[in-house]
Amino acid sequence: MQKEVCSDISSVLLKVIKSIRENDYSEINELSNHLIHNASIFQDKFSVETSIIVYSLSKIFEKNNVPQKDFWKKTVLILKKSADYAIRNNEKKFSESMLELAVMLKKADKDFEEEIGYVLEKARVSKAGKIHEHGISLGRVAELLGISEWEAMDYIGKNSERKYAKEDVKKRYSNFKSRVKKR
Amino acid sequence: MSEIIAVDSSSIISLAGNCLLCVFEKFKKEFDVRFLIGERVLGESITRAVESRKFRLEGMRVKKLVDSGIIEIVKNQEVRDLTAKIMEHSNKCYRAKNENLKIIHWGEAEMLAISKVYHASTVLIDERITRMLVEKPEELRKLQEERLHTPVEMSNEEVRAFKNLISNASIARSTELCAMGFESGFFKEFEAGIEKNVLVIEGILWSLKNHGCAISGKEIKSYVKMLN
Repeated sequence: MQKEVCSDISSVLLKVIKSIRENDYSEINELSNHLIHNASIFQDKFSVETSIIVYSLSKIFEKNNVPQKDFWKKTVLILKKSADYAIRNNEKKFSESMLELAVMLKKADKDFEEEIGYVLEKARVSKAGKIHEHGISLGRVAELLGISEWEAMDYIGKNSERKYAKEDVKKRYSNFKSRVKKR
Repeated sequence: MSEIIAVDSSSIISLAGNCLLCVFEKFKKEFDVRFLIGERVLGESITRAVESRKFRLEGMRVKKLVDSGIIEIVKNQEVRDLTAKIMEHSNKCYRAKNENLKIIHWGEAEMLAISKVYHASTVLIDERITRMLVEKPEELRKLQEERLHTPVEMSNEEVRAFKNLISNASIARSTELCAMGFESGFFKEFEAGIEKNVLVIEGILWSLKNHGCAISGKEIKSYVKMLN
């Protein structure tokens, strides 16, 4: 991992722990966006996956529908471990601990598992939309996040905040018309 | 000789999501055009969709268009080689934090390669980053800089190298295709009972936008004014 990526991930995970303790799910959601810049620039799997997991945690927290009593206790322990591995740039251990967290999220119980699966899937698509807004093509973000362009387009069309530069619609249209001839 | 239109998966997806794939067939009947896609676009537009449950029906509809020859697949080494070169240079056009930004995907590069090799007059793509790279690379740099909150450098040398590899084809979106379809009467079936015919194309353009086509509300307003 790049040094900057290591320190950003570690910093975000420690802040997530603080927000869990303070019951601040909106802050956790915001923290998932902090990693989007690095995900867009370095396009490293660590920033991408951490952003997805953190966003998913914010959604679970928001719904406040966790069956296991010690769910958050376990989550905080894994996040602490992950932050430590990130700052030490131990990619292997970091990946393992994030995977441990993802598996724990999915295995809570069957009903919850489906909801979690859905949350993780939604998180992936949401982050694809965010990275696309930062100037990375649709095809590239779909590849980076491991989703199809179909899912990415579906989300981006309905959710993305896209700022558009001034376009000359008449010029584009007449250009197209002039190049196509009737049979 | 037919006009060649190289098609990206983003346009196919926008149209499929709105049950407007018929526009390809109607266009081909009315105008002397060939719609070409490459292996990567085929993979995304059909294979990937059919493998999923959510988009399987749309994928099967796209497959029908390919099977019937409305959309043609091109597979040749010249396109593959040019795609690799386009990828190489396009992904060196911008740098941030000492890192080259990988901004486009193989499918988008392949579409540009097809347009060059087959002398396409038009490239059909709904996705805006590739379009900005081709038409307004400096504006793309500014967008990235603004969103990434970090300086983004653009290599004029790499942009020139990239532009030398691609064709002079104009860029159109599914919106331009449908606007022309509207003027050619493709959507007459929707006009019965509608107060103003132009409301039909307005509805179509907004639906395309909601399915991911990069068109702004302002542009749609301009279209409505123009086609009224």
